[in-house]
Amino acid sequence: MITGTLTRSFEYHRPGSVEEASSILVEGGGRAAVLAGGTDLLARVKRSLRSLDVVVDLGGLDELGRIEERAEGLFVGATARAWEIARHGTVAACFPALARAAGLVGGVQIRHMATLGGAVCSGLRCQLRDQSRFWRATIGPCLLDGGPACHARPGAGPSCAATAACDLPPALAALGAVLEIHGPAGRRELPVEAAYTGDGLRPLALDPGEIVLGARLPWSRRAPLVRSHYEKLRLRKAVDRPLVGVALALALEPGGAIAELRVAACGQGPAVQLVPGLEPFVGAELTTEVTEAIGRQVSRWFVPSPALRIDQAWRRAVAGLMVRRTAEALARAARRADTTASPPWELPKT
Amino acid sequence: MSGEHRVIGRRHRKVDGRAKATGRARYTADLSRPGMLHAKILRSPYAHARIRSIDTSAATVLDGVHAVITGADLPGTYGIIVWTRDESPLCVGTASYVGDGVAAVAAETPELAELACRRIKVDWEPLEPVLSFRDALEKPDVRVRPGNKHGNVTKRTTLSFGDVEGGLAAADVRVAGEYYFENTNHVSIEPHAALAEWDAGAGVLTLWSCTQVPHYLHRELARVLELPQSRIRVIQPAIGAGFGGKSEPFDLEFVVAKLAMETGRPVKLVYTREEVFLAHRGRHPTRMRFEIGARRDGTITAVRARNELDGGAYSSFGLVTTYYSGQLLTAPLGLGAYEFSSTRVFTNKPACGAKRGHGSVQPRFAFECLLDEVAEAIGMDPIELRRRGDIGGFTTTINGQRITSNGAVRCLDAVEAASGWKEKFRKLPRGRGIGVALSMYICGTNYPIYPNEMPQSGVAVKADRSGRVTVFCGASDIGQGSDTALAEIVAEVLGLELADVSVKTQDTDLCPVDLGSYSSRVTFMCGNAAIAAVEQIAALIRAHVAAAWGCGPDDVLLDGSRVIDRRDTSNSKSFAEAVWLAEAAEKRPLVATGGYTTPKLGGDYRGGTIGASPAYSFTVHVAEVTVDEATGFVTVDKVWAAHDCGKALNPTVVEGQIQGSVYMGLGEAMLEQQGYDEAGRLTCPNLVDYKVPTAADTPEIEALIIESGDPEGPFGAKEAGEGPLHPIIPAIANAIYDAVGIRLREIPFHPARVLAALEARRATEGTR
Repeated sequence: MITGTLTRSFEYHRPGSVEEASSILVEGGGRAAVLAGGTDLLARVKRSLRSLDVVVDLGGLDELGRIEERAEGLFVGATARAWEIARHGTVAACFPALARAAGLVGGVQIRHMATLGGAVCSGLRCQLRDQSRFWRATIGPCLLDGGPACHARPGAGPSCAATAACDLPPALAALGAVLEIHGPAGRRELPVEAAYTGDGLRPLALDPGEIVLGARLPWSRRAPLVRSHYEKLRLRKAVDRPLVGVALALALEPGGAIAELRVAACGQGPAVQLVPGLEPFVGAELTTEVTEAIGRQVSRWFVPSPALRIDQAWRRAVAGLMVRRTAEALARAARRADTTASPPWELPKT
Repeated sequence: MSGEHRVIGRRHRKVDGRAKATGRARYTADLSRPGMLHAKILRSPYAHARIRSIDTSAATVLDGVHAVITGADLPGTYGIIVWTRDESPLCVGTASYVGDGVAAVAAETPELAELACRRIKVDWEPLEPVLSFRDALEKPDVRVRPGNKHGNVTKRTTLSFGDVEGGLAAADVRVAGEYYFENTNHVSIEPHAALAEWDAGAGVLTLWSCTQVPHYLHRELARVLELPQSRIRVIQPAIGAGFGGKSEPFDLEFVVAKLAMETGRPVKLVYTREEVFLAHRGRHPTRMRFEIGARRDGTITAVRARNELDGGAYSSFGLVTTYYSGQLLTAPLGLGAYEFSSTRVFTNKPACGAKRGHGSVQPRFAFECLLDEVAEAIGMDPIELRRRGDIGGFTTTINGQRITSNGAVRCLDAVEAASGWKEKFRKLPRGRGIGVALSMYICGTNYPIYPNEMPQSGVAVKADRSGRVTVFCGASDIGQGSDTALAEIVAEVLGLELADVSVKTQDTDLCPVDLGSYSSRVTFMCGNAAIAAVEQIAALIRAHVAAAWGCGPDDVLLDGSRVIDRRDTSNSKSFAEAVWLAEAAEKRPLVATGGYTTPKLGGDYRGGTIGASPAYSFTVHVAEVTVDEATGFVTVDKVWAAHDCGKALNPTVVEGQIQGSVYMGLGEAMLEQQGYDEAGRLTCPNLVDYKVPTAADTPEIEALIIESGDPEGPFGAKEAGEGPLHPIIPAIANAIYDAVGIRLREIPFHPARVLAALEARRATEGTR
């Protein structure tokens, strides 16, 4: 049953070029919304979390739906669906963290609609805002809606505690993916982690009219020794968005020492971030002590968002544990020198 | 006996199964009438606030808005329990929880109705709210229901049977614990919906609603709308589940009726999911302090229980819930002495009511967990402890409830064998565990909700000249399969195919009264009423065919949609021909009615009839779990569920009820929490934040049907819809103890809570 503002009339555009899309977005200003899979946008419109005045449907831009191998990396288009990414052979072989993240998105129906671009650009998750108009009226406007303070972190000044809660961005960031962006000023590139400002009021470092065309995952110089994995914390085994999403990409020297280590996470706040302070581990062997130390570093750094009403201390502790277990599993797989083995660490165990 | 049955005891599709699975079934929300308007209800933003005034003018002037009503237009009160009618469709004077209805609008579209609601100006005077059990007792000057006699206490009862002090003193071991059962919602797939149409000329109101209790709704509509009950017709379309969440009247039913009468046009209202959570009537959050005394041989010498129930803003079923929290614990284990004290309070939150396993799921959790501690303390296997304590069949409990058939021990035997219990209990590797729990539930309550001497259930059966037979009954099939049970019973007695039987159970104009789908009463009571009716039809047919054939009535067999001469089976007629013959001889259509009235039962003391039931079902669950000690995640790997349903009229339906019950209880054990913030707002008013288990979270459930054959049940049947929920929560808790040695006394068993308990235990043990 369709209720609420969805039954209002709105302008609908299905441009045939990114240039056209971009100019409609510029014209529309704040009234314009990009439609890719719609899994985020429509839910927000139904709850009146945003109005629907001008819709720019990217569905007509075929090049945005592609997943293709290019010299500099694998290009995954902004409107490629999660289920396509999850089952794509090259993604699974070379970027297993991304394949796994895509396979863990929502439920089956969501995976068939949700897109990579949507995952990067979707709105933030906040249990104190993602509610009905009635509910929001009972609590009053939050910072984002013009109120004096963030309901999730009332004492913390003018900052929004909402959190990025999509599976693909941490995997993209850990894998060193670069976003290809088209805007009124032309094309530019941006590392995935740099696309997030950290400011919940304006979470994306995109200018008006800019459209994410897709993400490019660089081929590893060290292949096949690069391994990656994504893990997701949630209470249920399906449907839920991540409370914590962590991706780990690891390259080992032939002797077993860490050559590269990138860990990215969501669930802290508006930004998908790379875990800092991991440089000291480069050159170390992946021993139990080292994986534990990496996990501890993550737990020290990871401060769970108060915008989710799930025990924060637990989320913090488990975030580190997820990374530790993932690193251990990747190390085991590397020691077996089995290049095809995926080392999924299930949470909860199945 | 089952060998003789052609329909009963066999696997059939539910008679409504195909329509529901293929989308042909029409639910209330699907209905549309010419000129229909849509209604929305404006709800209170405050947990407790006085309404100084309401200005509806800005809503009324909107083009397309046809009517706006407030509490002043519908001041009458209603309630499912006739002694505690404390609700009005829209607040009169004071709002009692965030979401209490204040005003309602009928407009051309739902969006316009919602917009108009937002334009209504309410001048609020916020009052201090009462938001917890403790608040309710400690703030006597803040009154949730000012008309209530005992402050914020809805009901307090203490019942004592035998010498509890002496029993505890005589015990070899005494175990005690405090438990908390969280507030949970039913989460029916279909939200509440109602559609009303007013025939001004005839003065007749027709109301379509997805209610579980059309008869009680019929009565309360008349009362609040001040219409003769004879001018109201209640129709119940297909229902997308209820679980107790639709077992009393709700604001929307009165609101659409009043708006239809005001506007002269049909009016429909469908709750949002948030409104379902606000209407609630879910599980009472209950704090329980239990103590059990036992001897080394497993004899339970005494049980003492203190139950604190947080009832929310209205009485709902609370009077009954308060008694059920104690009265349903006295079987199948014999208790040497028993005392319970239960207190229900009002708080400024959505009202709690009946949810699958009404009132007794909470104390079972406490009792069965403590029983596990008793078993450990005396060094006895917990299944053996329960087997030894069983009081058997055809006996009376310590609180005076009559027990007829009792298959509890057979249930224990069945899960013990199926689960490989003896090889697993206390023998699985660390992190894996197995646990057991046992329960009992009623098959209907002995007394109707309003005192009367009429039958609890009525059925009419009509045999048509075509050979088609129609069953009319006021029962509500909310998914439990009661329409199918009625069809099966009638088909069985008349020797027909299921497809020859039509069931009409959805219309007060057509159907004799049945009191509704609650207390697991329908199959037992309607089934008996149906047998009483259809046997008269069978007798007429036998008598007249026998007369034609010159044989005795017993020589006339009803089988395969034919009547057959037992003496010469080549001599037969179609069932339709037999109807012709009988109707011609009778000079009247073949219609018969039957009723079911409960025998007089119950203890001879105040409250002694609450919990009295003509029969009781019994259930045992074994759950096997894996605990991740680093994260706190508990995975339920498998559940074995044995249920004594007396006789499975349709094993597929019974298995479905067992599996659905386990699933629902598993959700309460592991995930679900209807929480409130400091202002009384729901914290999880949608199905993203309120976590019901997905298929991926649901373990394999092995349903084991035990048939004790109840002498008073239809074909021996007892209930299967609610009993099978009870043991899963304590069974999981006991399995977690077996796995990692922690006793969880509060649901849900969220991983954060499990991890905290594990860390607390490590701290006390000083190990790591």
